[in-house]
Amino acid sequence: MIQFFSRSIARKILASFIGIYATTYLLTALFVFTSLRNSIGVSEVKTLSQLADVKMERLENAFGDLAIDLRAWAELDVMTDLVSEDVDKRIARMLEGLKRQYGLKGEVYAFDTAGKLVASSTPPNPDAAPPPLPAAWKVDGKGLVFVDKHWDTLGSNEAMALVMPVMASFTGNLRIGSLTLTYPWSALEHLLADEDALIELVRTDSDPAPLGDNGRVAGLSKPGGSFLKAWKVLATHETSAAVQAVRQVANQLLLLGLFLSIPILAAVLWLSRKLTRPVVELTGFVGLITGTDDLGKRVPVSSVDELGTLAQSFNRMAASLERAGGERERFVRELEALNQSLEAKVAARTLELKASQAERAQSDKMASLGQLVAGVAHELNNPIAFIYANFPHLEEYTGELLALIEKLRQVPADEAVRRRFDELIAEADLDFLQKDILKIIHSGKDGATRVKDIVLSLRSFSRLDEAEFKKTSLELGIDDTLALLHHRMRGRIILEKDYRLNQPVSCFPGQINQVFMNIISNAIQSIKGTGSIKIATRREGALAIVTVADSGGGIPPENLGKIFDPFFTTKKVGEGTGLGLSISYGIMEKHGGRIDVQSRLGEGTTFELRLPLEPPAAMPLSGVPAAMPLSGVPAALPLSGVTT
Amino acid sequence: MIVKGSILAVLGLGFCALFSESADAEGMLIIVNPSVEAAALSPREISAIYLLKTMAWADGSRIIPVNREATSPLREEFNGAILHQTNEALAAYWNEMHFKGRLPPVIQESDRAMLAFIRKVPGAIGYISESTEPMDVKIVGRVP
Repeated sequence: MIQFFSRSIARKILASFIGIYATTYLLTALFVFTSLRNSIGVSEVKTLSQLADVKMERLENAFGDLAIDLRAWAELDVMTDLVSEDVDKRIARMLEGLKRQYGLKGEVYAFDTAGKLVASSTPPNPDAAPPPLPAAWKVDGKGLVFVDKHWDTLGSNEAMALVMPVMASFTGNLRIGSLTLTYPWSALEHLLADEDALIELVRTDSDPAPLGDNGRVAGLSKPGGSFLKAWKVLATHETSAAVQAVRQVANQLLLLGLFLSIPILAAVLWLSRKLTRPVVELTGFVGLITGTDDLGKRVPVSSVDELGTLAQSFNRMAASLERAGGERERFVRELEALNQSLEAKVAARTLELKASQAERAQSDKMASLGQLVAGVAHELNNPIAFIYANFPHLEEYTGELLALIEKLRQVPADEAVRRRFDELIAEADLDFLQKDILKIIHSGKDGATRVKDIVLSLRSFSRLDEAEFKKTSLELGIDDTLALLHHRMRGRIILEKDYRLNQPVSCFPGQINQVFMNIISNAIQSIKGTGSIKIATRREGALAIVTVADSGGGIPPENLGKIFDPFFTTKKVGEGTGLGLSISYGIMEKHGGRIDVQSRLGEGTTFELRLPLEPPAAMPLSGVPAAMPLSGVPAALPLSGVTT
Repeated sequence: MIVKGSILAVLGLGFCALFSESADAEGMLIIVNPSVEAAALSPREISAIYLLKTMAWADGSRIIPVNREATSPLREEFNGAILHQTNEALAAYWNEMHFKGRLPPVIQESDRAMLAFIRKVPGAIGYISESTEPMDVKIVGRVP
């Protein structure tokens, strides 16, 4: 049951309203029923009490009237006859007349002071002895006395009585007898009788049956005011009459509840449907939206109440969700793009940084190496100069000595001497000596020359002997260099030239030519067999660009970072010094330019020289004299190329 | 008021019934309650009593005069012999005295009743015909 009602808001509303209606109706019905029953009971009791009061008042009035009458009768002149014991029967006649005239229910008796019955309203049976008087009738005093319910021995019935002393009219304060007026109990009950209720007298000290008990409703009067002080009138009647009315009301209430419940239930049903329809629609739409993830859908706003506001809010939320989703997607895309570009940038920057670091390291390396090399070259320069300078003399002197020895052999001498000479010559293996010494001298001379050249190169690399700084055509320098190297290319290397600069550049032409020499010479060396070399010049802003591209074997990637290092060479010892590119690097750096190399193994290498058209301000424009006189720029510096 | 009217009517009926009694002229006895000390009363003293001029006996006790009913021949005789006035004059006189606060004589309608009354009531004085035996009363006078 609870589950059934808790499954939908409409049912909950229905259940709530039914509960509220039932509770309200039941409480109201209960309240009305109880109030009605109480008020009916109270009003019944009140009515009965009033009836009882009326009856009591009637009794009191009756006794009051009788008392007035009795007082008047007691004052009649004829009462004087009490003294004479009513010998003339005047009193008896009068009492009979009074009873007849007043229609008295009881009797009136006249007694003398001794308590002897003098006269009565009904003639007594003369044969029967008069019965003893009720003790209560004997009263003292002068006032009227009400005698409560007692057994009337004279009337032989239950009665109440009024006793009035009779005073002598002829003299003061003489009591001559009394008048007693009886009121039979049966007459009293007859007086009380009522067709609607059962009326009875109850004593005030007695405890009457609790009101409403025994299936009767009871109303109690106040005690009598003058006579019936010890009595109350109890009026009762069957409760069934009152209960009948209450039952009728209860039935009507039940019917009313049933009749009311029909329109209320209908209204509640309608209201619950009406209330929950937008909610159901909204739920359906929300389910649709969440099911399909289509945030473009909108809930129809059908009312202006809270549900309408809810629908509007939901629409706004959906719109904002849609917007947020779009923005999120856009952000994601942008983020991805940014990410990618960032990666690219990072990669680029890393590359740049690497390059810059490499450049920097290279530059630092070159600087320190330059200092080292400059020191070494300086220290080696003088000794090698001696050696180199002495070798021609040594060759000359050795020749002269050998010629002298030959001449000495030709000098006529004793056989013995001659033999001795021959023996010595043979012993010394002069022929061999002659041949060998010249070889040695040549060899030494070559070595000295090479050492000299190396020193020169080192100097050139480190300090770079300065020549004249002037404007010169790079193309001219290239052509000169090519002319020098022509014999090494002839017949196997096709040369392509693409000169586009055609503009003089301020530089040290000799040094720049040395760079050309190194680069082109390396290019030629890298080509085993046939190949091609492309040389191009062009201008890029304030820079003159020279590219030398060969179709040689290329440089292995692991060597690319080292090719500008001094003494880095892949050639056999003696074939290259490993200084060519280092020197070239230094030269270009000094000119405010740079050398870049791109190489792909097996496809070739491209050197790119970038040289400012005008020298940077920091550049020394005048040549620095060499520490040692060397021949300016060697036309054909032994190339320290790398194996390319 | 109605009650009183009714009572008067009843009394009227009572009186009507008494007219039949005959009234022969004979002597009457003046009697008093035995408690009265006086041995004899003169007609003058009796008259003073009935005309409410003497209200008390010599010992100070109250005198209660008793009269017969207005139609009684004895009373007529008593009026003539002692009071020397007509019934009408006496009625007017007693009415006047009643207004002055002095009660007129008590009425008894027979000698038996008169006797019984005189016998019972101390200080009472009345009269009866001579033919009636004056039991237990004191005779203080005689009217021939």
